[in-house]
Amino acid sequence: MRKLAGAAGYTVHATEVTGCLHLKSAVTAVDAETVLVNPDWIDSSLFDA
Amino acid sequence: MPDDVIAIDRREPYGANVLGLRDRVIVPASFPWTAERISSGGKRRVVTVDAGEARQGRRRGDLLQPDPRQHPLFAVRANDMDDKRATLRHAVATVAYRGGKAVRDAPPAFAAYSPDGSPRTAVKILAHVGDRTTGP
Repeated sequence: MRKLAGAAGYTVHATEVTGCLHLKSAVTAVDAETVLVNPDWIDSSLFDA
Repeated sequence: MPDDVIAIDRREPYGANVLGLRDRVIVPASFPWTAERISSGGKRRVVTVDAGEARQGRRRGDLLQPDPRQHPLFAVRANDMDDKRATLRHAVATVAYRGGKAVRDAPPAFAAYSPDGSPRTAVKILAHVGDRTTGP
């Protein structure tokens, strides 16, 4: 993923999710500047500007 | 990096399962408290859908793509039960859905297929999964 996304100019941050099966259950981008998170399932400090 | 972080309402642990689409955010109707947070007092347009129906593919041609997941396990709303049960149920439903999809309309020769040449052919693995999931 890092290789593929990196080629497109993105930086990949690996993270752990707990309590759910999918990353998207823990966090979803609702628009370009906003994420919706379940802070019990993912470290929401990842999204600090 | 996003400059805004909204936390779901803890009464709806699966509340982050929404879809941001241009100027709208599509939210399952079963997450009303989280929908209110996303809306931020009308700042964002929130469209609620009955995801229970969508999961059963009844809203064809509507907001969501037709969904083949008609397995009854998917029709249960996650927030009607506790977290552990919801996660287990989702895992079982995923195995049922993905497993069914992998073998549906498979040609007869698929039964004897073994990716590494070992005796563990597709039909033996499938039989084993069936034995394990149906109990003794």
